Amino acid sequence: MKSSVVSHQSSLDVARDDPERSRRVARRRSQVFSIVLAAALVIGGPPREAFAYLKFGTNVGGRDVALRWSAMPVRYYINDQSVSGVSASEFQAAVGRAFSSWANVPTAAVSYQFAGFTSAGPGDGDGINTLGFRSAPDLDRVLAATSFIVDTVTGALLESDIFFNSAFPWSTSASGTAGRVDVESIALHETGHLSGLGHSMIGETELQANGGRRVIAAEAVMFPIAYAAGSVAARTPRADDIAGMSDLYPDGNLSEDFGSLSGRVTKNGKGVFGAHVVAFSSASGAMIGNFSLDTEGHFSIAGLSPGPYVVRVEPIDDAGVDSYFGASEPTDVDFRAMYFDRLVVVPRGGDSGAIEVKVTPK
Amino acid sequence: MQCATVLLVAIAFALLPRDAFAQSTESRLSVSGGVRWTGGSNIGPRDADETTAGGGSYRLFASDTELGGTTAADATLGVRLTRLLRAEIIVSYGRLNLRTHVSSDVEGIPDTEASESIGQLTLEGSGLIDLTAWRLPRQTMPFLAAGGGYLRHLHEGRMFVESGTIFHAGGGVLVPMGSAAGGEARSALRFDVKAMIRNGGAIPDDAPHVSPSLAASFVWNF
Repeated sequence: MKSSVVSHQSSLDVARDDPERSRRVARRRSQVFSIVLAAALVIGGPPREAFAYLKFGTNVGGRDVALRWSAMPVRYYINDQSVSGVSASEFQAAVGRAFSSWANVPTAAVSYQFAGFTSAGPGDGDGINTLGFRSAPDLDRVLAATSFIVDTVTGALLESDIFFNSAFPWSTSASGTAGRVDVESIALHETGHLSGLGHSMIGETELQANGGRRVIAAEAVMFPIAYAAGSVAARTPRADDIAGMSDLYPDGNLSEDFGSLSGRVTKNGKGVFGAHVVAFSSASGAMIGNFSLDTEGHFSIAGLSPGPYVVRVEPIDDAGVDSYFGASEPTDVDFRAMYFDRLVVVPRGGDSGAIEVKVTPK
Repeated sequence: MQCATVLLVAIAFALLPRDAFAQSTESRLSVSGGVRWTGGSNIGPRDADETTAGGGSYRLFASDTELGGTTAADATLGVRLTRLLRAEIIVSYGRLNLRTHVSSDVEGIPDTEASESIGQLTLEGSGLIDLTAWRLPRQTMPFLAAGGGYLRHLHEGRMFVESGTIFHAGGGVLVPMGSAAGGEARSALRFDVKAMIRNGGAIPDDAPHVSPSLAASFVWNF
């Protein structure tokens, strides 16, 4: 299952029309690329991963700051345009269910509020969070895209919009419609981005004859490639998604009741950047992953229930490297997947203590 | 329920007519120390499943977890309640391995066994019934025992403790050492065969797991 998704990046800097504050804001865009009937999401601009989960971030004063909303609820508007098969109200209901799925994560303190319909379009840069359809037939692999306006002085998230490409056929049917893309599934993925989550790599794909990838299975709605049209299997956040959202917006006693697993991935004594590390609980069957995020190979997986874990390490191979890291990052995919030969115990409210997973070149 | 059944059967045995084998001047207190081996227990398989587009399962890899056997040090404080009944408190500590065998990885990773070492501390109460009706050589006294208590597992790294319950049911024999004329011998060898039922602790499911247990100890009567 080798990866060859074509890299696509787009980012632009825009100045907010606020001369008094003279803030330079960066606009970051993530896009969902459809590959035949699947889709790959590609992060625009080199993502800055911070803390213990693959999250969107930005660099503020030389330090990485995770993108997150500081005020709750996050208010959003729905564009009042309908498309074939999906009315504006049906779209709003499906998007609302996606937001509710995140809001219902018991260990995350995140909430959203529908503020009303608007004629403004997604991507207008008008200071309101807007979700809606927009035709972009040139983006023939883009199902939907999430964009951000970030205050690069403070790192504050100012606006995030999501556009759904009306060049594709959409559905809000409860059981899905063959040949049509499920709004709620794609909305769940994009609203995860809107909330600050990056991509997960817990999924398996296979190459298609046209060079695209088909998802065989995934265990994270934040996996960068969508299920085939007609599927409604990605309407529910999985353990990996829940851990990520909980890490971004921890609720209650999260830090006391859950723990983390950390360590290094090394090859020939040197750190490996971009290794995918998954912690598997044989008690619950949950899989939660993250990447080694520096050249020393350090990784940390947060939001884990206490107990022993099997640790699996693999290179990025089921989506493009650019779905996770920028081209300038020294991502290493030249090593063999392997398991750590010890069960790693995650304590309640603490960290496992650093382990070292020594991988070997392919 | 199983323990209760064993106890009722034991009481029925014990109430059978007894013979001269039963001593009239038994010691009131006893302490003992020894070793206890408890067999392993298979926790069972758990697949690392992903979800397909149709909502089905796709196995990333398979896992099978086992709680290994342990040899523990045992200490017991006993008290005779009646001519037939005794009660005791048992403390034991030993180490065991929790092992997860990983196989059938979709990316072809060779099968692997990941393990950790766990410290197991148990504190149990037990009721014993001497089967005085049974004649055995050398004044050997058979008995039945059942009880239960607290189980504590300390994971590797000593940063995480999980507790659970442990029950036992079985029996054994007391073999007097030296003369027992006029009363119980001052010392004896004791051998136990029990079924141990563990639930919770580091066992990664909610089901009780039964393991065989053999113990040998040296008993001092006071």
